[in-house]
Amino acid sequence: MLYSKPLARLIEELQRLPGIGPKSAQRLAFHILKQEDAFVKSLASSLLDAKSQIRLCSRCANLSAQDPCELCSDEKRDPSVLCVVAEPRDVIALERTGEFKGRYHVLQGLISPLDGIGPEQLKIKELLLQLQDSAIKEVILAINPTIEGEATTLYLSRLLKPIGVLLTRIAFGLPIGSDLEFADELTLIRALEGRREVR
Amino acid sequence: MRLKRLELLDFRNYPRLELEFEGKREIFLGDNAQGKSNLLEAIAILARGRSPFLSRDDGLIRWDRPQAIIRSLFEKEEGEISIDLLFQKGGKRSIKVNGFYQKRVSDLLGRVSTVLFTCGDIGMVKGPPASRRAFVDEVLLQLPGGYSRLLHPYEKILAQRNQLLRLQAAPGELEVWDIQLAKYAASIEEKRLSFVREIAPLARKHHFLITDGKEDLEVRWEPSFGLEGDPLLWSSSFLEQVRERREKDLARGSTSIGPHRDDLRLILDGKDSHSFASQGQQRSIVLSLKLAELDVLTERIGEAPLLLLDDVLAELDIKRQNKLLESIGEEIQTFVTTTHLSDFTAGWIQGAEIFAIEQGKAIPFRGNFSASREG
Repeated sequence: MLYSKPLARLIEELQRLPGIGPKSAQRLAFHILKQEDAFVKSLASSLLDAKSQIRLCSRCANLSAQDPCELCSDEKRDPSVLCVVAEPRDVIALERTGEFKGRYHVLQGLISPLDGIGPEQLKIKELLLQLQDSAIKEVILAINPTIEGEATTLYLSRLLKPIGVLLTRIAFGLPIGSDLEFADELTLIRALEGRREVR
Repeated sequence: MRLKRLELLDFRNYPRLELEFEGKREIFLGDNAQGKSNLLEAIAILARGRSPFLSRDDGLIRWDRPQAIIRSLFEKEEGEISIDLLFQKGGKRSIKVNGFYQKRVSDLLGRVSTVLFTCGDIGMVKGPPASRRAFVDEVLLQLPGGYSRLLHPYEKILAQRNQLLRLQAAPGELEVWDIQLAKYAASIEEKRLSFVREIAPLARKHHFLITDGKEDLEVRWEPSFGLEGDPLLWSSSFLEQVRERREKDLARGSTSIGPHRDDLRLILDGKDSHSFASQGQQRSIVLSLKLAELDVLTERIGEAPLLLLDDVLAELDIKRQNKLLESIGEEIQTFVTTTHLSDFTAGWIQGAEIFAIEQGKAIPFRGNFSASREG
């Protein structure tokens, strides 16, 4: 037997995490064993606390310890714009820009029949509930331009158009600092489609 | 273009191999299962960024090793170019051109090109449509222009749609996939059709020469759905057709039209070769297609590609062997694998470099070949 039982179990559990292979799991486990008891206790309790306290916000389906979440209950946010994203990490990415002042809605995934995810598995009912708020004038779809992202965007656009709210999606095209010459065809086609008047 | 140097590290059965090529005719000589074809595969990978035989890179890495490396130096009209590829277990790969890292496989395409002709190709005439589609896709995947960025998403959308069909989804749920399917299908057809239009007259010409004017070869792309009028309208017309077939597709549990159902028709004297071609005719047809592929790549890349012949000489009779070797222009660097030298004409073997391949080693082979035709 390579490891004694408790160590083997720790490595096994760590390996279940995304992006962690056997080698990394082993390294993490050895690192943890070298640390002070206080650190390990705090790590363990932070795992438990996060799991027990973080819930989905009943309005926007984002992760939060509060319900409604910090963003939904923030009076300073613009209630007229709602940005729809796939995952909580997309909210973080957009918040980092400091540009967007509206509210969010998190779908918690994308349509993908191969993964058993249809529209019913996403937080679409909650989205429709949010949209009953007549203050919302614009819905921005900020969803990755992948196959599944496109399918979800198409689905949502068909669903939301009849509601009569202004429906937009974020632009796709050349990354800042890149070069036309080195852009691939599809990106260029998208960039041309999404061109806008110079002001 | 010409390959000057090839270096392999833990690639397939080669722990370490360095080869220098001086001329334009290279022969890898050896018994079966010694690694001759692996050398041609390595060269083919340099043009494609991926194996023409394997969909997963792991098979390229020598048993029990973490990674495989292919390093190369080519001589082109515009100067020398080095291409280095690294394949890691689990599918990670790095591409370096002239010492600089490239982000995507598509950044590699169009730098060097190869025409690979294996004995398995001859089966395409009588094989399933997939084997003939693979011929067309293989060439397009090697050319710059983002074909893989069309084909791979298409396959993914198709898999998602087929899953919905198997789950007996409501026809309305298919809509978001059908719209995307149509967009990619139209672009794929455009590329395939323009390639087949280019290759068809060239293949006819080669076939005419190989058969001494006795047979007429017509090469035609047969899409599985109606494609009329302006290519700009193909996407919407495909969408209409795929919508009409939803009920049918739900019943059969798979998508009945699209680029994955097309065929390349090879018509000999007005009849489909699929049902009647003899062994000899099949060989002539595939030989004509490969020579035409060589012409198209020369035209599109602006320089003659490398020709990789994997055990095909033995498959061809003397007459077709000679036709093939004759049609290879002086400017085309040719790599041939063979189990014995008697396959070659004395004239061709003069000036060829021969490497004896044995269990992952290559030994430059020197001797008197002038009598090899008789021996």
